Amino acid sequence: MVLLGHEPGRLNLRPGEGVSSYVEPVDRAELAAALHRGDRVLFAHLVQEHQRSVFFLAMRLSRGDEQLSRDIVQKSFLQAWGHRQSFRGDASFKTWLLRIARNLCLNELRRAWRQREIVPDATDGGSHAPLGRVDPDVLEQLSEEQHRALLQEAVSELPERQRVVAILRLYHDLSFSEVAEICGITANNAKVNFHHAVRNIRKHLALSGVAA
Amino acid sequence: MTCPDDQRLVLYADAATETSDPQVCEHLRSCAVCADRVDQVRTALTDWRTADLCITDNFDADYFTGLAEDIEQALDHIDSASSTPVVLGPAPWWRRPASLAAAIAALLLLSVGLLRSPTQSPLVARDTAPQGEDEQSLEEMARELGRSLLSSTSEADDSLEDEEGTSFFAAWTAEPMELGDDLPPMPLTTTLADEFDLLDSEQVRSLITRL
Repeated sequence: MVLLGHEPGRLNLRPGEGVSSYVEPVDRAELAAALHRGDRVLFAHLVQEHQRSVFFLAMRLSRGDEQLSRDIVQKSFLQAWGHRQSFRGDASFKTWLLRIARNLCLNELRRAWRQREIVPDATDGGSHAPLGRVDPDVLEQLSEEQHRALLQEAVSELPERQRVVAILRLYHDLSFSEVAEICGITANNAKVNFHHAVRNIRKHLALSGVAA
Repeated sequence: MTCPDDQRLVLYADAATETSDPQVCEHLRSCAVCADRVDQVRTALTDWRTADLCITDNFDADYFTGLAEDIEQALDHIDSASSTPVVLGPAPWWRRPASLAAAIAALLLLSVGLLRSPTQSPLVARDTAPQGEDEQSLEEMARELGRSLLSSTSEADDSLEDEEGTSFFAAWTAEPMELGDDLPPMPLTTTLADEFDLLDSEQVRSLITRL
């Protein structure tokens, strides 16, 4: 798809069309060139398209800290805009943006961890104690909320890199090469980390009495 | 084919959207243990994906519209801040040609002084020790450079007075009381460059010593 007649700051719209009909340049080099020109309209479109991914990545990494996630979204896009000249189109804009978001989020979490400001969120009831061996019949009655809490706990127990790889792979539907770009590792390394993550989550859930 | 390792099986189980491993696929037809293992992992992964870590349904389109507006406002703020013209104050001394030239001249004179032999005190050995050719040439070079720098900046200093209202004394009038009987006659109006040129070697050495 070619962005014909497009100028910075102007929408490439047909009469009667809204912003949702804005034609984004698909070619990465063209996208990079438009960003380098400072095309705010294009960037607004990118915000609308990718803010969910950034927000939910931050939510999953921070165990549901909504305010932190909102801050991460804003900071990520501000950094992306401020450093748009460094986007060369080698990777997709999404993976470039998610890499910024991942770095910001992990930095914030490390800072919060150092300051001991991590508060257990409401969904897990503040308890991280293993449930012990549970009757399979009872397990079937586990609500979706409880299941989510157990899974959240298992994922949060993972080492940082395994956690990020697992979240990106499981919930963001990204290929291993994309996961690798975001994490700054090789695709093979991403696969190894994903395997370890799966093994550790299953181990954690088994210890909690959930057959996984 | 022997049973593949666990990592290969896990990746195969997760390879719903990627290229499957044909060797593992063929192996699973003849190995019930590995097939069972793959089924377990596949079920677990599906289960984990279904039970997302956060409830995405709680955040609707309006929520993200507001978030996008916040981002746009922050971007507007940044752009307006970066486009605000910077009000320039008085130029610092290193931006003024006269000050810069004077500093360079002083540095040159200082470097000449530092190049003297450390065992030879400039105050004691001034009259007794013969002056080396290197020292003389350095002194001449410093004198020449200082004179040229000062003379080249005299005109610029004059123009600064008009532009910025800053007064410089590139040209000055000697007071009659400063003119001693034993000093050579001085012109009533002179420049720093001319004055620098009029210094004899003793005065230059004295200046170096003071520096």
